[in-house]
Parts: sequence; structure tokens; C-alpha cells
Amino acid sequence: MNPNETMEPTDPNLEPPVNTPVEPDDFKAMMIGATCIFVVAFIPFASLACCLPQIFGAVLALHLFTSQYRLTLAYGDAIKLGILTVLIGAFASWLVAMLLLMTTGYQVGHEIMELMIKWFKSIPSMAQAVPQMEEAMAKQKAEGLKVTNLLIGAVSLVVMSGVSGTLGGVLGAAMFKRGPKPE
Amino acid sequence: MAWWAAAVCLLPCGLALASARPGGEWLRSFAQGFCHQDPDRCYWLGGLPLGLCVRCFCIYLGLAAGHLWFAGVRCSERWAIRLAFGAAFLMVADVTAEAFGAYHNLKWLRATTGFGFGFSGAALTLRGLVQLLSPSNPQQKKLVVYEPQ
Repeated sequence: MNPNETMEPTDPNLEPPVNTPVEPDDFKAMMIGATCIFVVAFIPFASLACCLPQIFGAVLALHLFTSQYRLTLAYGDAIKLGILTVLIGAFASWLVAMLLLMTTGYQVGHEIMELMIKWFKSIPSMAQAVPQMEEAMAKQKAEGLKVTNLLIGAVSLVVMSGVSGTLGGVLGAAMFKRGPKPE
Repeated sequence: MAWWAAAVCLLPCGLALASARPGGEWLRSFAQGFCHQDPDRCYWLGGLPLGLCVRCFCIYLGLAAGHLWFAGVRCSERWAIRLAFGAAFLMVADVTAEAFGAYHNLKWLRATTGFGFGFSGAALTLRGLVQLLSPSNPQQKKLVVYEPQ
């Protein structure tokens, strides 16, 4: 070790390190959480996990934010971060799914419905519902994308993102207590 | 506020019920991306499956009931955390047990663990919503941390 690099605590010329106030920026953590939600939305059969990816995305954002700044978030702040993370991720994936449907006719998650119908046909007690389901799917496809569908989709996206984000936010805040609570 | 939160949580349940009415099938897409809507794992109403699986339906129902309950019954933060994580553990245990073939498609168990998770989670979410929507709350002051340079 170079002796010139050692610090002398009794040195009168030594100045204490300067601390400048920094406003924590949660943008990066939020975008990573949202990206996680976006990517999972396009993995086949990932929808079997229900709203778990959304809750996980919010918890991930909380984890990244609290570990970066070593702090404990109040539940209110955690909810804000959770909801925004899930909203961004879910809205982006919904938008891309709608664009895919409009431009190529590909419906995200249709494989799962087709697989389910095939499976139902093999179960005698479920076979009675298959024609109804097939009819509903065909009708939906024939009608295409309607404004009411888009509206219902957008409203439910906001509501369900809000609920998932709130749950993820408070669970994350309860899990990750990494420093003093905000004053 | 608890009433508003409960109403918001009941909205997906209402849409799920509406989608199971004849002519309401087009509503089923409302939960796309948030629920698998596997008809085998949904409650059925008049020969049609609801638009939400049993677990999701009961989580939303539990959240709505929990917000109303915890608005009247005080619960410390420590107990709220214990309740939420205890219920989450039970739900994960149910999913794991089914994945390993211990049983198959027990709707009542998924409904119970889902409702429990929603209900106990509401103790924490209500606390957070009160903090978030009360401007006078001291915990809503701007966050500032000190970073050494």
C-alpha cells in the first residue's frame, strides 16, 4: 500500500466529506419493473400466473429503489411507485397487443384458449360448453376490435393495474425496510 | 375511502359476473393479461364461466371485504404484515401442493386462500391508501437522501 494514500485522522487540513442532498429518483427502478411486466406478458402461457407478474414487477421496483437509496418507504409512497410501475408495464403490453391484433390479426394468448377448447372436448362433462365458447370466440373475431372493447379494456387495465400495483407496493414496502423512514 | 376502495375492488368481480350472462361473452377480454380465465378453474353461472378464475375472483372479493372490515377494526402494522404474509404463504403453499400433484383443482381451497390473501392484504393497502390520500400526513413529505460525493 502506498503510504501517500493513507489518511491521517489527526491531520488538521483534512476536511470532512461533503454530503449533498439528492432527491431519490425512482424512474430507473420503475422502468425495470415495468419492463419485467411487459416481457412476461408476451411469454406463452405466462398468463396462467394471473396477476402475479404485475405484483412481482411492483415488488421488484420497490426492491431496486429501496436498495439503491437505502431507505424505508412509507406505504403511501410505495403504492404510488407500485401503481405507476404496473400501469406503465401493463399499458405498454396492452398497446402492443392491440397493435398486433389490428395489423396482423394475431391475438396474444389465443394459443391457450385453443388448447383449452381441445382439452375440454376430451372431457364429457365440459364438452357441452365448447360450442358456446367457440361461438363466442368466432363472434369476437368476426366483430374485430370495437371501440367499446377498447374502452372496457382500457378501464379494466387501469383498475386492475391499480389493484395489483397497490398490493405489490405495500408488500414491497413491508418486505424491504432498508434505512430510516422518510421524515 | 374504504367504501371507494371496496367499490374499485368489486368492479372486476362485477365485470366477471356480467361476462357470464348470455350476450356478455364479449366482456371476457376485460381481464386479459391479468387472469388466465381458464373455464375449468372458474365458477360457472347459467352454463357460462365467469370472466375471472376462482382465485382472482376471491382475491378481489376479499380485498373489498377487507377494506370495509379494517376501516372499522383497528390492526397494528406488525399484525397487518403478519396477516398479509401468512395468507400469501398459504396461497403459495396451495399452488405448490397442486403443482406437485397433491390434489387437483380444489375450487373451495383456491377460493379460501385467495379470499384470505385479499382480505388480509387489505389491512396493509388501506393503511397505504390513507397515507397516500391524506395531505396532512407527515409521511408524505418529500423524500431526500444524502449521498456522499
